Amino acid sequence: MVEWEGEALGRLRQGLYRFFASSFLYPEESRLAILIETTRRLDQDYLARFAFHHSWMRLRGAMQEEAMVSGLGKQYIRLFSAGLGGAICPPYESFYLALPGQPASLFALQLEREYAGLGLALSPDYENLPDHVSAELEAMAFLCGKEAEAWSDRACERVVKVIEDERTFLQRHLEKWFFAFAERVMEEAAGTIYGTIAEAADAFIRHDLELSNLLLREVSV
Amino acid sequence: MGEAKTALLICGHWRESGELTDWLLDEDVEVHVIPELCHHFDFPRLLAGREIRRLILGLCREGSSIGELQTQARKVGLDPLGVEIVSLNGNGIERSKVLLAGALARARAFKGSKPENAKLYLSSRISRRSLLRLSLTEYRAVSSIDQGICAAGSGCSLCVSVCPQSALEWSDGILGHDRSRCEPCGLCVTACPRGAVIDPACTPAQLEAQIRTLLSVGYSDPRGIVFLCQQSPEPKAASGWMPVKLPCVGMATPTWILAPLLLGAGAVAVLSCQRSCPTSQSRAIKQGVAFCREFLRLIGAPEDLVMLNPALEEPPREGRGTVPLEDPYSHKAHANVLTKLASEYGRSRVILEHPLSPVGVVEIRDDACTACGMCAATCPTSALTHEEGEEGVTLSFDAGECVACGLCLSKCPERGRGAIILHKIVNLELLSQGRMPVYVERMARCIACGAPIASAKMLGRLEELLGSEHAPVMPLISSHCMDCRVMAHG
Repeated sequence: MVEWEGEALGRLRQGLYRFFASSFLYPEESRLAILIETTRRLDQDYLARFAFHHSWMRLRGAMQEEAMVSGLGKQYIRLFSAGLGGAICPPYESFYLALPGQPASLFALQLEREYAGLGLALSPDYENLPDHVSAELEAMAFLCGKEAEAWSDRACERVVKVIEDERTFLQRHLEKWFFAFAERVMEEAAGTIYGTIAEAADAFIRHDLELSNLLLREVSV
Repeated sequence: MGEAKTALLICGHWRESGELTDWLLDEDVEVHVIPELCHHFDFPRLLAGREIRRLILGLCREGSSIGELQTQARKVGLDPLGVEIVSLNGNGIERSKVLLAGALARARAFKGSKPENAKLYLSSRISRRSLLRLSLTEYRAVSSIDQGICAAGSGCSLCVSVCPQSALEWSDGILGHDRSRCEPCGLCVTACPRGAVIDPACTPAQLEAQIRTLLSVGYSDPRGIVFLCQQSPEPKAASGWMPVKLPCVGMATPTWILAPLLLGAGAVAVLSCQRSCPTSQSRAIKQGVAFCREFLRLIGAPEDLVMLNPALEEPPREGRGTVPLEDPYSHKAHANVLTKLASEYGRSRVILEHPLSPVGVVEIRDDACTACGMCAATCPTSALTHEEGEEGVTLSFDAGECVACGLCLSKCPERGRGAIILHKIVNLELLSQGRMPVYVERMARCIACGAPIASAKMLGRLEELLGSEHAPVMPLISSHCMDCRVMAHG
């Protein structure tokens, strides 16, 4: 029987959300070095328990290839930040979900409120809007960290409550737009590291949605 | 010796394991006996660095952890949904060889899965207390839809109608699939008349490969095929009965059940879960088997070539040999299987009306049909076609293509007047007749430009529906096409 400690699962998911959050930020040298190191360090045997392992291993392989991770700055700007409205794959929820005439700031305000409700605030150093993909993924990382702590404290009610929060946040936000964003990146950046990151993140988040739904459905009081 | 692409691992606990190491002289397969394989799937170290594409495990103990097996398969880069497991417990060496060869053929026909085909499961319901130690996840194959082939756009929703979990939904020509509801039963796979619904772990090619091998690899006894559910334990059976597992036996169409008789099987047994069937298919399975037996009786074959839930203590009878047959498990094979089987018994004129007939005959009543073509536009197999020619409108029908789905009937605007009648019937003569015109109607043409307006019958029907109040517009509608009507009116 495959068994795992809930805490370890929470930490793994926290690490993966944090990894993907960071990988959608500008690839400064130090950040990139950490990302590459993270793909080496994450427990591959543990990851093999999950169906997204295949796409993760492809990303891990790509991250070790120097040709794949050089010149990323230009790619990043072309894909995600080439001026207002000019990015090929805008990494903002508002771009995908805003109704005609609806200002992006509404999304920012709503998310800031939700982050505050979860006990989070954007750092003054954070240069993007609250509906940037990295902010939403970081929020999920934060929740998974809280979940891991609850596991560690053996606090069942807290575990369930945090998983409910995770599912709510996923359903309200990432489920509604992330897959469209990832599909764009996979199309526009096929064969590059960003295409591979998008594919792995897509597989992981889909799996995480299924996992949280399953856990909450199957847990009897 | 070339690089091995398939690995066959046998548990060393099985007392006959030593006999198998030199058995397969196929340079594409490597055979290993691993001590305690049933207890520890410790094969990644053995297979590391090898170009293994397919994996078959011969285990002597049931109840191994599928989740653990899948984890180990991923470690060596294998798609876990393509790994085949053969239960060797209680089997002698000869029978085990046949079972392993069948699994090998099935594994080789595996074409890979997509992420949406792997559905996550927990081993059992968990209490909040046990949540502190999560246990056992495994993935099971669920079907996915090839939107490029799917006929939902033209109104087909046959898969929706058979889904016992309500996991499929048709909306405005688009098929939605709710994976959280979906269970791996495969009913949608065989309901699809186009082969657009795919279960990667149970494709027609895999079934054909496995069954052909089970029936052809050297073995002294006569052989029969036993269809049973994936989750069912293997039954105690006389040695000639070869098990073929399906996600749910309810997915097996009558021609799936009959096809092995053309591939060399002496008999076919269908084991349903009966009252414990999780998809409530017991009645449908019973009807499907009843259809097969009635068909066998009509062609002069013994009815008990197909049996429902038999004891399997007696060995199957000797088969009649193999008949050349292409793609017997494809969605298009119904007519071919029925015709060839009847031909084997020297029959070419059989008529069998049955609610579970996999083929049908469409009858068009010319006193009610307006030749609008809706039936042909919605027909998912193009059994019905609608052609406009110089002479008029022709509706043609090919009974060999019809799967008796009834979509034509449901979309016919004149169904209330009985314009179309669907007979759920096997008529062997019609099956091999090919495409025949079933209704020809004169086309009214524009007096100004000669373009077609509509069939004369349709204009007549329109006049009838509009009644006397709108009668003055009819001469214009009947004489001019849409474009010329504007000019003529202006």
